[in-house]
Amino acid sequence: MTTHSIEPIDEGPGPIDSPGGRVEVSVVIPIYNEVENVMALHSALSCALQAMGRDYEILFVDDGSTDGSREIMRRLAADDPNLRVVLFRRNYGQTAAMSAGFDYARGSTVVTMDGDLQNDPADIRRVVEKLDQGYDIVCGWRRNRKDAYATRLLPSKLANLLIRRTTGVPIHDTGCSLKAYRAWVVRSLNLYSDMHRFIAALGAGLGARIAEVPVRHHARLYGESKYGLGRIFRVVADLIVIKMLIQFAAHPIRWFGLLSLPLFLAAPFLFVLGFYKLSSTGEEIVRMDRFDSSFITAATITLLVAINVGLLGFLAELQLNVSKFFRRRISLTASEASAR
Amino acid sequence: MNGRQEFISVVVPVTTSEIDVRALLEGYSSPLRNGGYEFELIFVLDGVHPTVVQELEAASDEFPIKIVRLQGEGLGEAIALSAGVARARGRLIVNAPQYLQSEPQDLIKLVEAMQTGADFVATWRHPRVDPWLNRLQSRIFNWLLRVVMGIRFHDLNSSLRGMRRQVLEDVNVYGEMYRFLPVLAQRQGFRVVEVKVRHREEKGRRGFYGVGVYVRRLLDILAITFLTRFTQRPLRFFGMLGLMTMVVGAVLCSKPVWDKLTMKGGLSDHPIFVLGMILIAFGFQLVGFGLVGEIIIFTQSGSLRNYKIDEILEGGAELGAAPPVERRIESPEVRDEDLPITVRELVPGEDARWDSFVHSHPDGTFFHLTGWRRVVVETFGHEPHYLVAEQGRRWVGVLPLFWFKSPFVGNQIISLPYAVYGGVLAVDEAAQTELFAVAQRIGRQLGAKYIELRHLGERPGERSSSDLYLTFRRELPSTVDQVMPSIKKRARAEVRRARDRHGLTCVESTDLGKFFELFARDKKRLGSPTLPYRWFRALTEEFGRQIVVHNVIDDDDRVLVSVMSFCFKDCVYAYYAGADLAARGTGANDYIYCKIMEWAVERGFRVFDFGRSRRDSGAAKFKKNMGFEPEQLHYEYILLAEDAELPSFNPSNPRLERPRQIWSKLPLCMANSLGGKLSRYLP
Repeated sequence: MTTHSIEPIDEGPGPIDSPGGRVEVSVVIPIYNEVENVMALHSALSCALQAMGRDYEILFVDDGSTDGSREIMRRLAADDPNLRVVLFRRNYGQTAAMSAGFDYARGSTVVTMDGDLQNDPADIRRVVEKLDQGYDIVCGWRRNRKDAYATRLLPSKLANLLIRRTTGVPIHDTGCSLKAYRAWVVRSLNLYSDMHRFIAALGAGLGARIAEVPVRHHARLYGESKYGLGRIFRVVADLIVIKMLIQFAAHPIRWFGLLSLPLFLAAPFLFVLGFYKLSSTGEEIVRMDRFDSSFITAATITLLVAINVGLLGFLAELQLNVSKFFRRRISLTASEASAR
Repeated sequence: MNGRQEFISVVVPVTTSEIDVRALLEGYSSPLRNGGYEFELIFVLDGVHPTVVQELEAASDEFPIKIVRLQGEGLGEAIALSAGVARARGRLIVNAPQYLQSEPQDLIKLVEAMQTGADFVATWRHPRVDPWLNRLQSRIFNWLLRVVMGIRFHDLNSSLRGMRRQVLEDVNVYGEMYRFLPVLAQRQGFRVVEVKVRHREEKGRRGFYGVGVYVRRLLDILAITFLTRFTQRPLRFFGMLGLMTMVVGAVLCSKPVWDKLTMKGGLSDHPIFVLGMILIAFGFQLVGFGLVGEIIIFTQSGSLRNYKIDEILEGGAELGAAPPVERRIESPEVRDEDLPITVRELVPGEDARWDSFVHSHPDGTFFHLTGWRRVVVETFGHEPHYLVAEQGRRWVGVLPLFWFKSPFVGNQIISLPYAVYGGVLAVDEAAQTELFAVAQRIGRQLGAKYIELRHLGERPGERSSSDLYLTFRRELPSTVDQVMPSIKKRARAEVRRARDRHGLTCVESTDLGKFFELFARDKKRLGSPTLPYRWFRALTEEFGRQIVVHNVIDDDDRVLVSVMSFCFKDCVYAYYAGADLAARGTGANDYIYCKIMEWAVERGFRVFDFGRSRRDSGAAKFKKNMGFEPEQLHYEYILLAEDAELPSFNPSNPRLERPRQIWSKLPLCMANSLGGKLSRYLP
């Protein structure tokens, strides 16, 4: 087994090309403490992919497992030329695992899947075939999910509705990790933090064509499910960001204008209220000669902060400009697209 | 374990002259000697400490000592440490304080911990023997850290630490963050362990520090908390804060507004309402900050490499020439050579593969390495487009490009700026054609006028070219004695004069400051802007021992000539040089190059690269005198715009005569600071 550590140079000349033939489909799977599932996953994947009759590679990204998954993957990799394993130094989370998978995938089509066998490897064929019909991203849709309704299904349905509404990307099941991408899409995206949940939305921002196919869903065989309920706030915060990024990234100032709008509206309203001053008896006496100073003060402050928030938009524009982000992205996407 | 052979570099930042050099040397070297380790002691002098230098030099026969002088004073431990590590030979670094705070014998514990797999070793001085006041303060500091950040280190103030070199390469340390190095290293995914060391009497400061120190410490803790927890998602932090203030504000406001609307309010004012509104507005502002933060992160996300890899297992490699899987037998075998060539940009994580391609390609030069890219991006911020041509899984070519836009030379693509060589490296013409095609597309998108390819050797195909530059390279003789005879008679006489009459000697140096001083003054005299100091610092930090500086000094230790050379494959590139005016007529110039050639022969290099010169320039004549034959450089241009013409912005252009004269008359400090900024725009 060859193992090369990814350290900076100084190792002298190494091999230019790696062994093996070309790769059409790369299947990227983040693994974190899936000791019971890894073997089954590998054999199911190998069966399904060989049946497809395309050249493939399986790319396991081990996210710092401590339960012995690593040793199993080592053994598997020794025998299977179609398997590559990237071992992380510690647990970095799913997004990092995903982006490492994207960095090291060699196929022109990249398929992602969970390591817990809730997706059926046989469905890979469906998403890939759909992709061949001329799409850039194909998402799986778990139509009949095998999860508890109250704790997982309902929150997920609501979240998906929210995501659909805000991003405008008509995907029913953002949480389904079985997805297929063309290589240029995943190379153009830099994933960080929890961004892997929104790849479809971000891809749409790049102009990718998106489709959806129903896939099967199994209940978890072994192991613990790694999601919980208490992440509503984070999802909402992420959604606000995604919305901003895909709709206003080129003009953040508009987004900040929107943010300051409530304050801009509140200010005149408070001014108007401030012009009334009521008598202690509660009779409807409008006395224009004395203002309600607290309302006037509040109105002034609100107005000032509204202007302030609007001005933050300029800072955002400045950052975009300085970073040449869009230039880089355009040229990258263009050269990737031409390589198709 | 073969760990015994590991080389240890001990780095000691020195900020005061009042240290017991002898005790330090004995203390730090004896445990390593007893343990049978090879080691070096690197003293980094922050400020001028002549007595320390004297004592160190006196002891340099007994101990393996290196002295690093920093430019300036009070730069702090972080800079001192990185400067020391840049000169260090070993992969294992021990950062040791200038006072013997703990039993030196415990150094071995650090080294052993690193050899058993730790990337970073923090120490815990236990039991403490310093005054109770110091102890109390230190306790509080560490306790606060634990509470705020949930981090279990007992003694972050202990500055005895061990680390692998790569920790410092990956972790961004600056200023006071130095103290939190263990925390940052852990966040980056390094294995960090803590070992107990026995505490000795503290000679440092006692009692209370100024108020400012405490405030700074607190702010540091806050900053580090924010950095380690929320760096990637500012909105989660600001959004949460903003939301909370908004909710509180809304609650406070509800009553007065309700009263007002239902006309129940009295005549009294509503101070509570003002407070409420301020909180709401403030909340909006905080959310705005969070969004700005998110945009900053998003635009920089390309450079956030957020994982570290232990190793990659290539499947089935153990099978050797394994029989192909059944599936392959059915379909006719597809070979890489039959596949179309595709071109894409280099993606993060492929740097090592790129470098090994450059190593194995016959035309690959030092400048093609990704290190050059990092240094250019870091120092000048130009935009890189490093293209890779792939055929199946095989790499068949690379083309490093930089987008270079400047008021002097216009909008262009250069391979490679600040370098004398660059251009395409391909295995065949087909790959080269594909690379050029994509390069042209990128160039047009960026609105560039032309692509400049600084080819050393000829490449297939027809393009416009420039014959302005010559380069001077030659094979080195196989023994040191043959170097002198290989240069021309006149130059040989100069070398002898330098050596015999003026008593000059040539030494290897780590003093970047002196080199820069000479280089910058020389540049000014010739009327061109100098590269900034940070360029050279970045180069030496990036390439480490691949970069060497030679100095020629006279009897009084005055540096007359300083030359910076790059080592790559079997070649030494004498690349940047600067000479003092006093070097005139001493033959120091001829002498230093002769010496560098001898140095190169000694170390087994086979080619000496004297760099490029303009045709008919004085430098070209000098190089011919040193026994070098001129070789035409194949600088080529792919014109992109219809009205594009070849560039003429070089020192030979008569129109530049005037500005060059004026430049050479500027005061040195002005020319240096201005030149450092200008050089960004001069490729």
